[in-house]
Amino acid sequence: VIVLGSVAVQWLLCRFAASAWWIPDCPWVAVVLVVSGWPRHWLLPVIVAGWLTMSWSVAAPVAVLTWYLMGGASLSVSAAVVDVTDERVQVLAAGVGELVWLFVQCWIQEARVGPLYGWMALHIALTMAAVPVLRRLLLWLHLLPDVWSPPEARRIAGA
Amino acid sequence: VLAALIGAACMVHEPLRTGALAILRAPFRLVVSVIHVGLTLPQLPGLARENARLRTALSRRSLELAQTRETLRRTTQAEALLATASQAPGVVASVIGRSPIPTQHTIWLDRGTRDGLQLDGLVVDAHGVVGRLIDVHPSTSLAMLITDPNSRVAGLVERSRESGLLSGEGHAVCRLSYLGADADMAEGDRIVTAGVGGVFPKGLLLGTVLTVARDDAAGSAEARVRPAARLGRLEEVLCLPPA
Repeated sequence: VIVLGSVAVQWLLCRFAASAWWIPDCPWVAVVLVVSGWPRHWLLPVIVAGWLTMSWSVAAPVAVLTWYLMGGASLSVSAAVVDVTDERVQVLAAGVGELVWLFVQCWIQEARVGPLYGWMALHIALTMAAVPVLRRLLLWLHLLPDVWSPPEARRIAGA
Repeated sequence: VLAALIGAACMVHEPLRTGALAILRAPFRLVVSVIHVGLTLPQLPGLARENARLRTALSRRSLELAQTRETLRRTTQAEALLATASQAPGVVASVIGRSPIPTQHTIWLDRGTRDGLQLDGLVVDAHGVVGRLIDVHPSTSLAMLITDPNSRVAGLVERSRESGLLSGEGHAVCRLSYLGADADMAEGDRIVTAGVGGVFPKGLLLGTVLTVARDDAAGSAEARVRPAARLGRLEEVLCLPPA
């Protein structure tokens, strides 16, 4: 539900925006949040997001799905080492993932011009900023696990 | 003496009158204001209602004006599109989606093979070339914009007939390359399709030169070109068969 919703929102926003650079990568943010919440069940949301994004891809569509699979798997493995439910970790994961993804895309398409790096920086910043927004929205909708309450609440619950 | 007195009176008359009027103006205005307030006070409840009614009417007129402007804009757009359509057979398609991948500039159209669209078909709007069809399904199709990094179109400087290759860069501006260092090209020149390659017919407007960079050492020049089509605000486009 979360991934499908994010893809729908992404498509809608892109339809009415002048450029996709202005729109945060909602499917990737959704994948980060979902895999962080359920690290063992990473495959299905990753495939759904990757496949739906792949349908748009003109250059190397398989690379899109591969990227999503690698990103999801990396996050799932990281869950054993770091606290991926920490918001800062999620923001970082979204930013690093988007950075790598955009560089791969530019490399595949041989697009290496100055203004593009500025757009990339903007897009990554927007994607990172979307994490806390989407996270709070999903928590408010009770679509994420309880362990995602703020740290203070978790401490109180633990006590 | 009399003449001197009359002359002096004439000289001081105007300043005196101005001074007198300035002094009298204040009390007269006060009296008039009091009378006005006395007359207006009984009408206040009605005025408030009248004011509210006028505000509502104004809001309604503003809305109607906005709707009329939008209708006018759409009509102008449709007329321009029809003018283009009348010159060549084609299919008008609505843009129903845009690629969410920022480095890939594609749009999704609501027409497909059932409507006569063909692979490599040309997509234009009233202002110029938008791109070409790269994937055609029965009822939908995918068009690659000229700003996509994979897009390549043979272009021609309309004024000097210098030819080059227009390629997308993944953002709002394209690049015209493979030009000689002494190419006759300047800011503001219009770039049109060269008609080479079998997809785009000759003479369609691609864009306008923003800047020209010359490299005398390499003997080449490049130009940044702003697309003529309003690629960020596409609503309806005309799909033409490939040349």
